[in-house]
Parts: sequence; structure tokens; C-alpha cells
Amino acid sequence: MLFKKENQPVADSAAVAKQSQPKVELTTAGKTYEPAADIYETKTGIVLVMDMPGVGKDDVEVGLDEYVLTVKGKVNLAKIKGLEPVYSEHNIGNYQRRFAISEKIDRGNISATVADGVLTVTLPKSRDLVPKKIQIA
Amino acid sequence: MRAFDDSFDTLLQLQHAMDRVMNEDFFGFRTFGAPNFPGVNVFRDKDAFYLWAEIPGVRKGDINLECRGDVVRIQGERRRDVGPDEVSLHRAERPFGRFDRSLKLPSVVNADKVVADYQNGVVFLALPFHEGVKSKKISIA
Repeated sequence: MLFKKENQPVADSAAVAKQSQPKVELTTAGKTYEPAADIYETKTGIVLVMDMPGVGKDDVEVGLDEYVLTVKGKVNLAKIKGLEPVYSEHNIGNYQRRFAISEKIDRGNISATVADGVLTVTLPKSRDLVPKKIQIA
Repeated sequence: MRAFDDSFDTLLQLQHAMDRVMNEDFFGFRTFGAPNFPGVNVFRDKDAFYLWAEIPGVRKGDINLECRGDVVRIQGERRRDVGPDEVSLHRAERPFGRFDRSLKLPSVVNADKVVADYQNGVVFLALPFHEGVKSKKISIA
């Protein structure tokens, strides 16, 4: 999908923790969108890559509550402040998305980086699950 | 297998074909490029147009910007950047590939004075109006 979707729970059992979402509604100024995400698995963990254009390093918040990973990004609108819109193809807004995390993830060692408006979250597998080579004695 | 073995199947195929036609650019990918990527917003103030295009995760060198008269062209390629140890892709929502868009602005801009930057995945262009098209206030004598 090329368009950004508005933030609504997706019917998707694998990634979105629909059932485990806390029943709390948010109040934030402006619109919130669900960022497009790629998820891939490596030998040592799961990598989550999300498009958050306009979001800088200091405006990202990655939180973990039990088994729900919440990602939030705040768009920096300083450049367009006070300008008059002429033509608009998409709304510019903040980002938020939730993911259900498996218990096989080493929850203490989750790390995240932001570069060029792309957020990458690395979720390492817990040590028992990483493939091991067994030496023949 | 006979043709039209399953009429529902045929209907479904027809529907898919219609959906494709409606969702795609009529002449296909090659002629006009992906029409929706990157998404562009245009703003203005009294001196210039400002263009905000969201192209996250692209190398600076992979973006080409051109300006001629009243047309701005944004062209480039967004590459999938995954490590060599990728085992399996579970989900792929982010768009990749070549993009090429030309936008016609409401008036001619001064191509020599265009300023562009790429920050946090957003290309931001300041396109000052051409001297000849700047509006002047006329006072009544």
C-alpha cells in the first residue's frame, strides 16, 4: 500500500495485539497514522522496519508493556509552520502502531535506531532459540 | 479443462482485472511511473512554493531533483535495505523501486535559487517565484 492508513487496529493476528491492547483511548492533537512496516526474521532475532518520514531521532518513543510493543513518532512540523497549503496528497501526522511480541523474544535486549525517517527495532530471540552447532566429541 | 468451467471463478477474475485497472495508472508503470510515490504536499508563502515529499530511507545520492520553468521533477530509486542474514520476510508493506514524478506548479519558479534538503526522510524544497511573476502591490494615485 502506498498510502498511509489511519490508525485503526488491523485484522491481523500475527502482528497486532488486538486482544491485548489496553482499553485506553488516546488524546493527542492532530492525526495519528499507522506507519508501513516490514518484518523479517534473522537467525538471531526479528527485525521491524517502519517508515516514519518527518520523525527525527529525538521524537521517537518505543515502549514495551508486557508483550505489547508500542511505537510512537512525532512529526517535526517546524519547516511548514505558517505556510499556506496549496496542494495536498497526504496528511502529515504523527505515527503509532502496536505489535504483539512473542514470549520467545529476549525482552530485555530490544534495541532501536532511527535513520532518514526509518525506524528499525531489533528484537533478539531468547538465547535458547538461537540455532547452535553441536560439536562432536 | 473446459473454458468457463467455473463461472464464479471467471467473474472473480473479471473483478480482479477491474480492480487492477481502477487502482493502477491507465498506461501502466512504465509510462508514467508509480503515480503515488512519493506523496507530495505543496505549500506557499509570499515569496516561494515549498514542496514536502516523503521518501524515507533513501540514500541522498539516489534522489535526483530537477526544476525547469514551472515543473519540478523528483526521480530516484528506493532500494530494499536488508542485511545479508535475512532469513525470511514476514511482512512487506513498504514500497520500493524506482519513482519518477513531475509536478506542475501554479507559476514559474526561479530555478537558480531553489534550495533542497533531505532530513528525516523528507525532501523539502524551497522554490522561490520567478521575478517576473511576483505580484506587486499597486497603490491608487
